[in-house]
Amino acid sequence: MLWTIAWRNVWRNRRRSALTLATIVLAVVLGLLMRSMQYGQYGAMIDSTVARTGHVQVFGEGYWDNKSLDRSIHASAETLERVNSVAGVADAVPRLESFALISFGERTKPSGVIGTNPEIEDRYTALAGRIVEGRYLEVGERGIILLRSLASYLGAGIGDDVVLLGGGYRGQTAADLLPVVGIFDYTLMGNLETGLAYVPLDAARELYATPPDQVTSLSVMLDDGDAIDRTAETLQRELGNEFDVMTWRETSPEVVQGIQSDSVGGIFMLAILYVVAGFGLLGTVLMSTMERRREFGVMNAVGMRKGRLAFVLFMETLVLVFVGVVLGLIVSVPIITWFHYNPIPVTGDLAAVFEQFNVPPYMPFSVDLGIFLAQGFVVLVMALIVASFPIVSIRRLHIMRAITGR
Amino acid sequence: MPVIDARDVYKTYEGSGVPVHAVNGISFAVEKGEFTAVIGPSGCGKTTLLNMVGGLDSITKGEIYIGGTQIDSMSEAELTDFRLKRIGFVFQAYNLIPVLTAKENIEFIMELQGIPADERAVRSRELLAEVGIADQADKRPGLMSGGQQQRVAVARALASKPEFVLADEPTANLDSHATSDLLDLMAEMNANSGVTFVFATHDQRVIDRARRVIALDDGKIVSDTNAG
Ligand SMILES: Nc1ncnc2c1ncn2[C@@H]1O[C@H](COP(=O)(O)OP(=O)(O)OP(=O)(O)O)[C@@H](O)[C@H]1O
Ligand SMILES: [Mg+2]
Repeated sequence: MLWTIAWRNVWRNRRRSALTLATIVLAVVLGLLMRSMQYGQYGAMIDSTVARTGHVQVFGEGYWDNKSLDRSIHASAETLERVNSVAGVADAVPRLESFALISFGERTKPSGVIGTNPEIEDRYTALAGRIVEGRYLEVGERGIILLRSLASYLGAGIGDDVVLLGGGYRGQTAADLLPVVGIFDYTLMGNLETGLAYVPLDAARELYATPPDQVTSLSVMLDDGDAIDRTAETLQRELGNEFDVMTWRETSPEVVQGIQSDSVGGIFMLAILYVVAGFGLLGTVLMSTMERRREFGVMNAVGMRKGRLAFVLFMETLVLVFVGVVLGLIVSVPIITWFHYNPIPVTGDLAAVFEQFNVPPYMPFSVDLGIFLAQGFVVLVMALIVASFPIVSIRRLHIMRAITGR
Repeated sequence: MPVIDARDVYKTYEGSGVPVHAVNGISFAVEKGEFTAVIGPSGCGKTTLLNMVGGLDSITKGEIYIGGTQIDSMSEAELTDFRLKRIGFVFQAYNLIPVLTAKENIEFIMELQGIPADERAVRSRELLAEVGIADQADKRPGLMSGGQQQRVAVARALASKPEFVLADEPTANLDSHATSDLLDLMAEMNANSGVTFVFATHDQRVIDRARRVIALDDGKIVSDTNAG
């Protein structure tokens, strides 16, 4: 009967109930869509970062602060075996990278020259797909692929031999002549002043005059992106102090900061959204409590305990919110799921920004359960706060004053 | 043992400004089966007295026993339970629950008492028949006349089989026809089932039908007469 009373009271003021419900539904839908979009975006940024750096990177001791070839490490088969045998490690991408001047004819440009295993590299960064002219590198070959802007600056084309000149391992000179086999387009963050080129690992070792098996970094890919810190610790322990193990968060703090500051903005928006919805709900709840004061007085007079009365009112609010949340989910889950599998393509200026951050030009929506749980928690807290107000007014209820309206 | 036994009861409203001594040392007892009217000029303390006896308002000084149980020192929750089980109320403004039908308004009390659904259904039908509005069972109060609503209120008051029914100005909102019908009904219940009624009233028709009349003035009893 108590539920009957609650239910009929909802219908007694149909328009107000509907409006309140709509407010909750709207808040839930907007909140979820916004967060899902943000988290999807963050996920894409992290994915593209991790593709470049790995979840975890292994360097020689001190390499991060002083990126010298002299701090490169000997990645013997035994070392790689040790890395790969750590639980949760999926793969390790070896790279040997430094800088060199690349010249062709009259023109010269300082460039990053990265030695990598073409096969493994492509698996994570999809570098082969970036080739716009010529072909991708083959394992073990002596050849180089150039960033498009570098190639056009130099005026070098496919088949041309470019000269590389720079500092090598332990004070030696890095000098080589390599044929251009391909041109790629791959915009890295802030990498506009200098050029960029890839060569197979062994060609890089020859260029920089390092011993065999030498690398400047191992980018370690994990099976589970959530186990980063634990795996990094294990790796560090396993490898010892000659190695520095760093997570992508440490090597790409700008990405972490970007996500954090954007997320704070999102949370601020959410806070506004829920405060507005919360006050809307509070208004309804207070009004309906006030309108029914006489009724409550009568119920209390004829023998319904205040505690029970307060409980029923409390539940009325929670049910209203619950219905709102369920409706909100019914509306937003299909939308989010749809855009998760069919991300909105981004065009124009925004696409350029995405490209600059190496993020595919799509708005992916995250279906992370955490988003739903977090929103659910926020709504629950809001509902509990709002639902407590009638309890206070029931506690203060004076039967005769309520009945006589004094 | 009297169903109501009030001993030297006082009620002072502090509020703002001067304290109002609404009830000023009243003692009286009501026996089972009485049909009693509390009368007196407006503001003499009738409502205040009934509210204290009904456990709806606190007592400033004195003792009140209902069926031998002292109620003036009970906690709020105890008092609520006590009202539920032992006292029936009829208010001037009917005060039914607007979203419930006549039948549901009666069953509500029984549900609070924990009476099973089938028993509630049977008893509420009986009560509605007894107050003569069996055909209104599924109507909500808003669609009923004042007289009909007050009959539902009487049925509701009897739903918990209380020791007595307190009725504060039960006829004040009714026309003369509805008033005499309601009075017939209550007198009949009093005569046939021995239901004890205590009214607070101005209404001469009620006073005429009462078998005992307690007159108040200024918060004190000035006369207490049995009309027989
Ligand atoms: N809640 C209150 N606060 C302050 N004073 C009150 C309150 N209720 C009643 N009074 C005062 O107490 C006195 C008795 O009031 P009460 O309502 O008991 O009179 P009554 O006999 O029922 O009058 P009426 O015939 O008009 O219903 C009056 O002077 C009234 O103003
Ligand atoms: Mg009165």
